[in-house]
Amino acid sequence: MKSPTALWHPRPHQWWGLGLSLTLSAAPHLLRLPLWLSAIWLLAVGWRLSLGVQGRAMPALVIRLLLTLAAGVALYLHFGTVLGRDAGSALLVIMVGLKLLELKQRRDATLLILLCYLLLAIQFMFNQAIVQVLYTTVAVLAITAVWITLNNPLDERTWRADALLAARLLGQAVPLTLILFVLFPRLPGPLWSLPSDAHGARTGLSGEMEPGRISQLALSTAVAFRADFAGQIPPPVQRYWRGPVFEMTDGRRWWGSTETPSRNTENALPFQPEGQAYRYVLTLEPNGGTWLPALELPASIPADVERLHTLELKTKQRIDALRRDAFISYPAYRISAATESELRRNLRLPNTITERIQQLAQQWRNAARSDRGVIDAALRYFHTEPFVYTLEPPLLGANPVDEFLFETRRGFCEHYAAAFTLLMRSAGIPARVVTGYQGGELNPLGGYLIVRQSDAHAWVELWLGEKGWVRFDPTAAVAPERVEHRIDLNFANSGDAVRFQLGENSLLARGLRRARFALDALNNGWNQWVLSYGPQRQQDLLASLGLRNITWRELAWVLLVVTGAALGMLALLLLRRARPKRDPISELYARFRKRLAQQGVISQPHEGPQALLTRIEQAQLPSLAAARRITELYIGLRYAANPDNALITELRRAVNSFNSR
Amino acid sequence: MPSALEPVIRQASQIILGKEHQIRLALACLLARGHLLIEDLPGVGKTTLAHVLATTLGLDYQRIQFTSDLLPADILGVSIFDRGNGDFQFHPGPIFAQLILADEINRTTPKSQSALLEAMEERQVTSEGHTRKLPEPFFVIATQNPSEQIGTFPLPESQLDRFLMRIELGYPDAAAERELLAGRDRRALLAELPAGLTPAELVSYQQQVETLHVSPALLDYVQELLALSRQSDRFVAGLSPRAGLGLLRAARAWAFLEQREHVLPEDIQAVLPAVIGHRLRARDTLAENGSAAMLSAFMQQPIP
Repeated sequence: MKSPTALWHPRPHQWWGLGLSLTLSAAPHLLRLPLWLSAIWLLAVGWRLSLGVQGRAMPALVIRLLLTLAAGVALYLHFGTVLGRDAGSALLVIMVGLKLLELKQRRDATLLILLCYLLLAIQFMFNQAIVQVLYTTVAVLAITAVWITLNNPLDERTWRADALLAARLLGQAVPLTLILFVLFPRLPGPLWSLPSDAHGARTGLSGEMEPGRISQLALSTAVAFRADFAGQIPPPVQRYWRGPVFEMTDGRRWWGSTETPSRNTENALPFQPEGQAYRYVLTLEPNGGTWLPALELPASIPADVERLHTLELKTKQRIDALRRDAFISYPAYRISAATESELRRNLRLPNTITERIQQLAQQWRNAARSDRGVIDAALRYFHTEPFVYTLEPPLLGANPVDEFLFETRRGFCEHYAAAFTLLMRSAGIPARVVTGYQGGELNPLGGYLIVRQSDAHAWVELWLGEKGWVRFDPTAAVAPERVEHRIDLNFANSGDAVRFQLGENSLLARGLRRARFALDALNNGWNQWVLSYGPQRQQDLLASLGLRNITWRELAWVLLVVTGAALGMLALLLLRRARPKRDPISELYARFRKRLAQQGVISQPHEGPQALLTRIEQAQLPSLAAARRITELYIGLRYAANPDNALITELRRAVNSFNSR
Repeated sequence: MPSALEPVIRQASQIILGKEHQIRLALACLLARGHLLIEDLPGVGKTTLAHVLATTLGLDYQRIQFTSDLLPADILGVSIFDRGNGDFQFHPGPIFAQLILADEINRTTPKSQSALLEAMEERQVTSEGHTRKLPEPFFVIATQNPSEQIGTFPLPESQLDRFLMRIELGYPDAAAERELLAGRDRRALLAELPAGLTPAELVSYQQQVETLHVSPALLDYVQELLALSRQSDRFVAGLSPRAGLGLLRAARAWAFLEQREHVLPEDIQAVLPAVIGHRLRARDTLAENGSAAMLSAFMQQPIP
C-alpha cells in the first residue's frame, strides 16, 4: 500500500493543482504584503513548480535552508518582530511558499493543503466583507478539489469530477456550519481578540480637530455607517450625525472639554423634541474610535453608551467590531439648558487671537442690533467675500484662523467652522464646533442611507439665549450645495473648489452607480445578518427559541447535543445507504467472518475461504467442524460449477448457529 | 486421478531441495500449456529443475545453450541435400523435443530469440515452405541471468509476455542447503529417477485443466485485479487481456494440482506473482520488477 513516507512523484496536473491552491490561498495576503516578499514567494513557488512538472528533483538542502533563513531574517528586519497579526501572517505565507520547495512525500502535500485552508481563514483577520467570503468559498472549493486530485490514483478522472465531489463535500458541510454559526458561544470581551496590531489603520472621527484633519478623512470613500430607517427618511438638510463636540481651543487645535460629567444619570431628556421622530437602526463599521454618530438628537441611547454633556454619544469600549444599535432621533429640537460654566467656556478666546479678527467681529456687533444680526453678517461675509470651498487648502502657519480669514480664504468645513466659532466668540456669542457626518446617500435598492467617511463634516452651535443651542453651518454659506449633494471625489486632487455630484447623465455612470448600490446592499445584508450577530443577538435569538438567560457553558452543551444528534442521524442514514446490496451467499459468509472475529480469528478482506479455513484449523476452534462445513458450502455455492441453490438454506442455518464457543 | 502428480512433485523435491512451491509453479505452468522463464543467478539449480521435470514426467529433453553466435537454424534445424535420395533432407534442430531448456536466452541475438519465441507461440516450425508441428506436449524453460547484462540482449516486454510465468529459485534455506551439501551428487540421483508419467497422461491432464470451472464470482475477482493494475499510478502500463487469460489458465492448473474441480481465489493468489511479476513495470524505477512490495497491492485486493 501507499506509505505516507514513501517518495512521491506527483504528475504535472497535480503540481499545477498544488500551485493553484497555494496561489489562491496566498493571493489576498500577497496583495497586502511588501512587494519584495510577494516576489520571493512567487519565484519560489514558480521555481518548484517548473522543476516538478519537468520531473526534476527539489533544490539542494543548502539552498532551501539559506532561502528559509534569509526570508525569516528579512521578515524580521522589515516588521521588527515575527509576532502579531501582520508579521505573523507574513511569516506563515512565506514559509508555506518555501514549504513547497521541499515537497517530497505525499504527506507534505497534505500538509500544504491544510496550510492553504489556514491561510484563507487568516485573511478574515484583515477583512470580513462579503467579497472576501465569496472569494474564500470559491478558493476552498478549488483547494478541496485539488486535494481530491492529489489523492486520486486514477488518471482518467477529470478535474470536473473532482470539483463536483468537492462541491458535494462542501455542500454537506453547510448544515454543520450553520449550526455552529448560530449556536457557538459568542463571548463578549477579549477571549478571542485579535492581536493588538489588527486595528491599525482604520479611519474615523477623532477626538481632536486641526486644520486638514477632516479634509483628509473626506478623501476616503470607506463606509462609516449605514442607517436603515423604519418609515420616513429625513430630508438632506436634517441629516446631521453628531460626533465629537469641541469647546476648547488653542487657536489651532480643538478638543472637547472634560469638565462637566456625562448626562447618563439625568432622568429627563436633555433637550425638547420638536416635530417628527425618526426610527432607525444604525450599523457602524468598526473604526477603532469611541464615537457613535447618531442622528441629531437621539432620545434613547444603548446601555453601554455615554451621553456627554455636549450631547454626543461615546462608547465605553473601543469600537473594534461591527456595532448595530436602534435609535429614535428628533432632527428638530431645542437645547435650552446650559450652565454658567458651560457658557463661559464657550466664550473663551485663545491667546493667539489677532486684532483683525476681533475688529471684524466688533464691526459686525456695532452694526447689528441683535445676535441674529451679527450671525447674518458673518454668514454674509463668508458668502460675498471670495472664499473657496476646497479639499486641498493651502498649509496654514501658527495662526491658522487669521491666515485663513484674511489671506488664503481657501478651506474645508473645519476651517469655516473654526473661524466662525472664533468670530462669534469675539462678538460675545457662546459658540462651539460640532463634528460628525452630514448627509448620506440613499441606496434605492436597500432603502437605507449609506454614510461614508467623505461625508465627514464640521459645523457650529451658537447659544442664542432662550432659543438655546442652535446649529449654524458656515460651510453652507460658502457652498450651499454641500448640504444637498455629495462631494465629487473625482476632482478632489485638483486643488480647485470642491465639485459636487449633481445627478448623473450618462448611461454608463448610472449603470455603475446602480452596480455600486447593489454591491453595497449586499454588504449591508451581510453586516446585518452575519457580522453583527454577536452575543446580544445570539441571546435574543435563543430567547425567542425558549432558551432564556442561557450561559455560554450551557450553550456549549446545547451545541454539542444538537451537532451530535445531527451527525448521528446523518451517520445512520449514510450507513444504511452505504451498505452495498450483496448477494445472500456473500452476506452469510460475511456474517460468518464477523462471528469468527468474535472468537479471535480475524479474517482479512483479501483472504480466500480455503486459506481462512487453514487458519481456523490452526487456531483449533471448538467449532471447527461447523466452520469446515460452512466453508465447504460457501465454496460450493460461490465457486463451483452448477451450484445447488437449495444449499443456501443450509448455509444460513449453519452460519446462524455458528456462535457457540 | 490428479493424485498421480503428487509423486512427481515429491520426487522432484528430493532433488531440488526446499523449492516445492517453485516446482509446483513450474508444473502448473506446464499443465497450463505455458512456458516458463527462470530468472536467477547461476548455480541455484535452474538446469537441474528442467532436467528433473523432464525425467519425472517422462519427456524427452533438449538443452540449447544460447550464445551470441547462435543462428535460428541452430535451433530450428536445416535441410541438407541428400545425394543418395537426390532431395533435401530436413535435419530437425533441438527445438523438436518435448521439453526444451533454453539456457541464458538473453545472450543471443534478437533474431535467434524470436525464432524460439515464435516456435513457442505457434507450436510449429516453418522452414523452407514446410510447416512442421512440434511434439506434444511442448514446454520451454528459458533461463535468464539478471546480474550480468553486459553483452546481452534483454528480452523486451512484448517477448516477456510470451512466458506464462517467471519464477526465481533463490538460495535454499539453511536446512535444505545442509542436506544438499551432505547428500549425494544431484546428477547421480537424477540418473536414478524413474519416470512418473507418460507424455500421453500429461496431455490428458492438460486437457482436464482446461475444463476446470471458473465461477462468475472468481471472474469478478480477476477483473478487479486487472482494473487495479490499470488504475494504479505505480505502473507504466496495466495488465493486458492476455495476462488476464494467462492468470486464469495458471490458476486452473494450480487448482488442478490442489485437486479441486473449481478455481478459488487462493489459486489466483498462488500464481499471481509468477504470472504478472514480469508483465508489469513500476513507474518508480527504484522498485524491483516483480518484487513483493510492488505486488502487495494485488495480494491485498479484497476478494469480492
